Amino acid sequence: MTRKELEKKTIASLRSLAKNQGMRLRPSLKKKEIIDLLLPLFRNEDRASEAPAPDPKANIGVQKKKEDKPALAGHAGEGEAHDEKVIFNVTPTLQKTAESPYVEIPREYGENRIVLLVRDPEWVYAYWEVTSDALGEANRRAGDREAHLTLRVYDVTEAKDLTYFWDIELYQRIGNWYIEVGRPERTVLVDIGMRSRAGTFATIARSNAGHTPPNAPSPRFDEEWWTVEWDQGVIAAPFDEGRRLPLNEAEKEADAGGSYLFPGSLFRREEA
Amino acid sequence: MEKGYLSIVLHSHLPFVRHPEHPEFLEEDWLFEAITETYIPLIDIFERLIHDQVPFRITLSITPTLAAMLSDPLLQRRYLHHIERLIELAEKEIHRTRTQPEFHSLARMYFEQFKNARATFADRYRGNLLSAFRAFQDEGVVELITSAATHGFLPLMAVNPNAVRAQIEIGAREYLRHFGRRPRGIWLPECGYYPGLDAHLAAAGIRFFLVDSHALLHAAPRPKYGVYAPIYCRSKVAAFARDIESSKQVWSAEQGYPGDFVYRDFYRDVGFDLDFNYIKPYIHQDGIRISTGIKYYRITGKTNHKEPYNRAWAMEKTAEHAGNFMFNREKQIEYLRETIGRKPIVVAPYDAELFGHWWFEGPQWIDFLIRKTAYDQKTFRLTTPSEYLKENPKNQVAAPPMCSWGYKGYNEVWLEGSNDWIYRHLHKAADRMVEMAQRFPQSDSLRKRALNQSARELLLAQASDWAFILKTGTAVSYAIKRTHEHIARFTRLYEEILSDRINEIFLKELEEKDNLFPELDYRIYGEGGAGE
Repeated sequence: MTRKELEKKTIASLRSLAKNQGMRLRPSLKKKEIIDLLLPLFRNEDRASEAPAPDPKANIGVQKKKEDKPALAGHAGEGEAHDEKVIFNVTPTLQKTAESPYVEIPREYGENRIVLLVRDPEWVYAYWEVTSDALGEANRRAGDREAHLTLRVYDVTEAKDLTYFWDIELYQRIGNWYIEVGRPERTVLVDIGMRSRAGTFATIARSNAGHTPPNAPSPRFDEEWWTVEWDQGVIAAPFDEGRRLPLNEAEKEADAGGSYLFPGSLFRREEA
Repeated sequence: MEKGYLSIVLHSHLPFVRHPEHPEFLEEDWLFEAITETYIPLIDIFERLIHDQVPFRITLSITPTLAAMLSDPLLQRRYLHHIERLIELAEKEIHRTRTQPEFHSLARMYFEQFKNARATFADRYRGNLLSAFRAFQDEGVVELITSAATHGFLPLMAVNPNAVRAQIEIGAREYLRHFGRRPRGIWLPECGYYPGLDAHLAAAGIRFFLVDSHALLHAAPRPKYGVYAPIYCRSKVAAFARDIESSKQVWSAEQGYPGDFVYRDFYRDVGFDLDFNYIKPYIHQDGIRISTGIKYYRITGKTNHKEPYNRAWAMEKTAEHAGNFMFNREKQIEYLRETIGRKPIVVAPYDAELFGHWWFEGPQWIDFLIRKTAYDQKTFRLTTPSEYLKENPKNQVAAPPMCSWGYKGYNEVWLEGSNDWIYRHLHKAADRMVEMAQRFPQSDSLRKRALNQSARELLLAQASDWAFILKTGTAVSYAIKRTHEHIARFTRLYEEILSDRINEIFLKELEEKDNLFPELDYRIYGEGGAGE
């Protein structure tokens, strides 16, 4: 967004834009001062990652300080809601294209999109990008100039009608988040949108659905057997006469995640 | 009559690293070291086993990127240069160590190893080691399997089914091009599986894949025989799971064989130890000290104090470890046969480069194990997954969950703070590739070339190796560079193609740099998806 585009906006919408970028502005600031603060953010949108580490408190909708800083992407601007400094920190290493030794890649793709990836039986990850125009439009729909950019996480495992959800407040229109689902075998999807102070939610984009995998042996013991001939003919076969293998030490270990042994390929060496 | 089976699976893979724009490139050494230390020793062992008429079966995956590099004339010339310099260094070492008998014999050993590598590479296989592996497959002793085109981590690609399908189908076509027939099996990159992936495999004519133990232990319904029999997915593709016990004996840093104190130490290398001016011609041209492959010490203990390597002791220990592994498999298989009342299969997959590169004595261990298995016991027989399925076509039907063989067993290695930023770009590029393929089902030759090259850039960006390197923290800047370059090249091609302003000079440059998969056809991205 250019200075001209920002100048076209009302001071109230600039304030709400700033808020959605996580900034807290003193009430005395003039329009020009707000634009001066906003401009660098829009010139320098994060294209690498905000990469917040998983937040166990995420499901009560409050962002807390993150423990892990990403090694590469630099630290991004999330933090306590009342911390004024944080938002000027939105400059991961990768963004500094002027000094960067790497060729430039797109900062954003100019679309409204949110994608969900499953990380493990308890965590999913979402990344998103929404346009400034979509933010303003969603603000209007939410009927509140101070509506807040929000992730709405739906658990649709049983209820397919989006009645079970929780919210996570966000600060960046291009960002990502690790979401604790907390349980295996849940189907979740995520909306990004604006939530008014009164609770009205205006969706901007909806993600794909993701399913967290099981982390324990299946409770189902029913059996189906096939004979698949090498030429692909399948014959349903009678039960195999063998005896079921008892859950042994090795399996217990696998259940506890102990099956993991780090693969050691060639370029994976630690330098001497 | 045997009581069960052992299936050893070696997964060989390297990301596509080829930099014609530089006379020397550090990361190309990954390939050269693997050729000298792993691929050639394995070839020599398989040849001798065939010559001695020792019955054996082993499964070997060769990823399409590794196959592309092994068959690339530029990298072949560079390897020849590399091995010739090593021979020269070993000759100097023989002279330098003439008054130090404990090192002198080792210098001679390396000299012989390098000279032999040169002979195998240049004289016997004319620079193309793939022909060796193809011959072993035709002989019926080695089962070669393919992998996804660039070893893309498929569970994190699943949002675009066409991209997954392209990785698999291109992997199958490259296999056909190199080995003369379609593949029966596939090594899923990092054993990464998600429900529905099997349908893509079935569509490519693939009959089996390999997964980590919990893929079967947590499959639904619960598989009756645990990991000791494969299961069929509903698509009729079979899944074989890793046995934990046999893995641990070889993999584990603490309990595994490779950490034995008499084995050769990996880190002490003359590239770091010797006088700078002496070693300078054999390290990086900018004077960066690197491993040369000449290493004189044994692991000795847990401290930095190292004693000279003793080859005879190490070989004795290798034979002992091969015997121990065989004994443990006999006991395990006897017990399992007794318990389940059916012949179990113990599947033992390893990264191929563990053998020879990390674990110097690893190839000899495989050799000893195969020979002992053939002559010293009758409890089990070596097999391959497809041979097993032909002999045992009746298996249980179950659905494995999403999983991988990475740390914690799921996707976290490739999706965490250091590397999660890549996915928005990888997914967008994949979507754009599909969009272009659907928009341009027919193309003139220039646009066709640009579209094919776009697909190559996308595939190269998708290699799981970059995310892995970002996570582990070695060679990080190279992984960022590669991700950025391929995304940037793709994006530029996309913009040029859509605006019908293809810059042929730029295109030609990319075709020469990223020259893998010469028969790639971009239209594969436009076809309707399977499975989803």
